[in-house]
Amino acid sequence: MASTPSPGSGSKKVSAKIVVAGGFGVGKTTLVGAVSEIPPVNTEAIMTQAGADHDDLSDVPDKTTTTVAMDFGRITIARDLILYLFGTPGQSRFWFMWEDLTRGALGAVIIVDTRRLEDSFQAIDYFEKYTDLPFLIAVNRFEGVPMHPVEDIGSALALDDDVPVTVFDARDRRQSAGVLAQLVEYTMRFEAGPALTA
Amino acid sequence: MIPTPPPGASTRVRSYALTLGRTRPSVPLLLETLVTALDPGPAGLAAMTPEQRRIYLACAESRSVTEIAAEVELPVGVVRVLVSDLAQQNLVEVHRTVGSGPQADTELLERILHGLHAIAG
Ligand SMILES: Nc1nc2c(ncn2[C@@H]2O[C@H](COP(=O)(O)OP(=O)(O)OP(=O)(O)O)[C@@H](O)[C@H]2O)c(=O)[nH]1
Ligand SMILES: [Mg+2]
Repeated sequence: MASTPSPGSGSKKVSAKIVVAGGFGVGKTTLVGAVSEIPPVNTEAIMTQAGADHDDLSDVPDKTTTTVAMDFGRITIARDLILYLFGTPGQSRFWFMWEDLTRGALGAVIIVDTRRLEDSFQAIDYFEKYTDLPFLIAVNRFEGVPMHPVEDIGSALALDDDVPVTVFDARDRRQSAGVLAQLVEYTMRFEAGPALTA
Repeated sequence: MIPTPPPGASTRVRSYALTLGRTRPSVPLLLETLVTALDPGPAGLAAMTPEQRRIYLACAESRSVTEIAAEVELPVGVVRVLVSDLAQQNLVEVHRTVGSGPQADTELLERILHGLHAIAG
């Protein structure tokens, strides 16, 4: 796998990633900024269009690169265990990045704003159709917006019954960490009993 | 998807030259994969290309592939290939990642969960 033998280095580390997705202005950057130990970053990552590992050499002349602004956050769980957060870029012209963003992830938090649920349909579709990743729906609570029961939101989004739906305030560090924790719990359940979720 | 051409000059020729035309890293490197510089030995730094050296120095402390790419201002795809070369020469260590799926390490997931609960209070 992705480990290189290095006798005597004695500094094994492990990392993991959670993807934060959702429509325009739902609170992706806010969530990442609230929980990340590095400043609310909007890292300019230079991505190569078309995933790097399904190319063969003949594809090289067609490759182009583009700078993509994406949210990037880090949580040091322990010296040897780092959790990264990757927010998906909003613009659809960056769809090519999603494969890289999602590959190997623990799962995804899809944020929705109840005033415009439809803005997050594309993200939900992506995770349902193109990945095997566990995802949950996190409803960002904006002041003055009446809250619907989470079951109603789940059915409005036509979600499978087992997809967790939770309500939070993306500006709140504790609540945002709580949503990430719920995702990790779901990932562990997802592992333990795929038959239950199939 | 139809790729949208990036604004400004294309970096494609430069990227191609840096990786000597190789686009497929031999070690799987995800965006979050941590990389740490190892003791370069006597030949070490002098034997590296300038880009390899910049990457090597950028991960003196463990850094993810994404952070390295941001630091050295090279495309992630190029960084993957160069890191992979460094790893094959035992100049950097490429660490494991934990994801979802049946082979995921439950103990690591427990530790992550515990850490997040500690923040959530
Ligand atoms: N009142 C309130 N405002 C919020 C909340 N979450 C985010 N906002 C505000 O809503 C706006 C959009 O939030 P962002 O975090 O930038 O949303 P985003 O999903 O990153 O948006 P794009 O990157 O443009 O797609 C910002 O002005 C935030 O300050 C919330 O929970 N309550
Ligand atoms: Mg944003």
